[in-house]
Amino acid sequence: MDGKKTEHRRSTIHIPERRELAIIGMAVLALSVFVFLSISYQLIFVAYTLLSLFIFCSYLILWLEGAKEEISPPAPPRWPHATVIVPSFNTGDTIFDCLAACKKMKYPGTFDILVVDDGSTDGSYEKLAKMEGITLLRNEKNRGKASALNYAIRHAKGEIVACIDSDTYPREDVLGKAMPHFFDDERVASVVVFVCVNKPRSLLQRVQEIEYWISFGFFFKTIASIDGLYVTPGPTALYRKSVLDSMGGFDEQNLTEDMEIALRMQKHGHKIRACHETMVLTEVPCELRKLFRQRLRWYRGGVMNILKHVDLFFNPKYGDFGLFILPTTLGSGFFAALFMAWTLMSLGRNFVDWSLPFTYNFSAGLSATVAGMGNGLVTFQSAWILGMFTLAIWAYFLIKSFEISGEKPQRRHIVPLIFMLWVYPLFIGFTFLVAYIYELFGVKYKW
Amino acid sequence: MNRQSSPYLKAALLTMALALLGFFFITQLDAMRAGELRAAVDELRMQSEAERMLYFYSQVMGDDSGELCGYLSSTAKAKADRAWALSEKIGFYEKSNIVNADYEKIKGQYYLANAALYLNMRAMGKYCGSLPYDTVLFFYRTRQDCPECRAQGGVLDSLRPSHPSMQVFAFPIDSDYDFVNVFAKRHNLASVPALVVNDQVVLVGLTDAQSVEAHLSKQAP
Repeated sequence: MDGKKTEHRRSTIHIPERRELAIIGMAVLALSVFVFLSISYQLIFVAYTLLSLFIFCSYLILWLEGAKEEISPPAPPRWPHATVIVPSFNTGDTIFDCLAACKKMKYPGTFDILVVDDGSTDGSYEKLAKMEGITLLRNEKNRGKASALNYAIRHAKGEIVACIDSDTYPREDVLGKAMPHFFDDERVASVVVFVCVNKPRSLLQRVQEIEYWISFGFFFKTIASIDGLYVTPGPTALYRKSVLDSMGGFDEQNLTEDMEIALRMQKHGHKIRACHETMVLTEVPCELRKLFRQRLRWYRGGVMNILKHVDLFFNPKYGDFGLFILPTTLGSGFFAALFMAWTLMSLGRNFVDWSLPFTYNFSAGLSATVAGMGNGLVTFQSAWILGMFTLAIWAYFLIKSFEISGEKPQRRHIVPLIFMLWVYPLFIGFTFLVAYIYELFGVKYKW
Repeated sequence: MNRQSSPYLKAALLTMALALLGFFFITQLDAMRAGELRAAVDELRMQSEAERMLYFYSQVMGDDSGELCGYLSSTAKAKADRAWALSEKIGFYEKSNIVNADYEKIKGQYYLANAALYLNMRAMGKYCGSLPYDTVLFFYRTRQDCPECRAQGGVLDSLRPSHPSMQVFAFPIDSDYDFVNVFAKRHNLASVPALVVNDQVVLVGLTDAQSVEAHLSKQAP
């Protein structure tokens, strides 16, 4: 659930060779058939529902026991100089609005803006060069976002650096509201700002809008309340420069460097705080294909970082973070993928049931299909009763997410919500499944 | 318990409470459905008993007025249709059932009633001289996955509207009931799906609608 975009060519995942795909497909199919035939789907459903019920109950209790409180630390004794870093690679469409929003920011202290052009070829560098009020750095060759950020951090003058994606528009008070969190505790190394969707137009974007409210709103607020943030989302995160320097900056070989740095900070005992008193607006993919690519990268990055920092998982040394947050956030993707595999197998089996008669008699197929669907609709699975509880708790989270984002639930939210409940999880689960398969078989990214 | 772990303990307790509540409702729902099935199967058994009693009556009392044949053939179809519909219901309820352990018993009772209905219908043919129905015995498998069996069920379903005189009686060949094995042995059935039309024609393997149709003696009007 980190907030990075597919704006850098290096992060683009390429469709693997046909042969590789075929091997993966066959292996997964064989595995799923085996698992599916040996365990009943209903049993899996009940186990999965009980597990998610526990996770949801935990978040509910954590919310009620403190996370719901409004956090706004007092004004700090001094306002440190801040450097806003905006990495850019062929982002001519959005970066000028982004920089305009950055320049408009009001901050009691001083701040400067540092733009790193990562070898753009769309002419945005030339335009940026003419711009006033920013410092422009340039990588001749495209080297990736993490590398660009590290380059900028080395040149940053600020005690605090604010990394802002070039397709993200901060509100005026972002620096002013986020900064006091650093003075709340000297171990605070990073403050993340509430990320929301900028001007959602398509249905897919409106679904993501609500998803962002829930993920970056409700869940981030709850997770931050027990110092468990596992990602400092790319769209906007502030860092203490001294900490970044001591840790050697971002991992340049990582697909989701914003997650990697957060895990490393947790490992070193630094704290990450969340600021929900303001927000930044970010562009989100408008097409399913682009969203799939973005999420595939997030989730593959997630798997990659689980493997890299596997010692954090279930490690009592890291308290709530290691024992609860990591397994239920990054780890739950694994269950989502597994559950998805089972669901797909179950659907596939029903599909065979429905389609097989077609091969013998068209009308037979038709009537069997209609009968099957009709019975499927009226046959209420007993296990669904457990799912109702999860749904009820989720609805509560949803209401709280709306409150955090300052939105009132309206009629226009109904359709995206329906999609979010019954269609979107299939997509997310499927993407998780693909991400795990790709990582499992080491399908190459294009570097 | 230290302060940090207590929220999760609370969450676990809450989860347990909700799960218990959920399972209470599930038990209720499953019991309700099993009760509904039991009642329907009882009804079916009673009807087949009543039918058999009438044959017995005619044997004992020597009634051959033909009135009985007319009465039996007029009510047989409704019973067989109800039995077929009930088998679907049992299948779907069983699939969604979690806690109720009665299904084996319910199914056993159902097969018994269904077998009685089948035999009554065959008896009608013998006793009354002619049978206004085509009987189709349909053998399938439950313990191992059998997509062809489900497909065969679909094929038979599709024939029902156009062939109201066709009566299907379905039995799992891998059941523990002797009478099913006796039925299957009579036609030397080794694999499923298998159909026995009018106790004469044996069709093994997935049979398409045209082939089934060809063996029905009472053609669609």
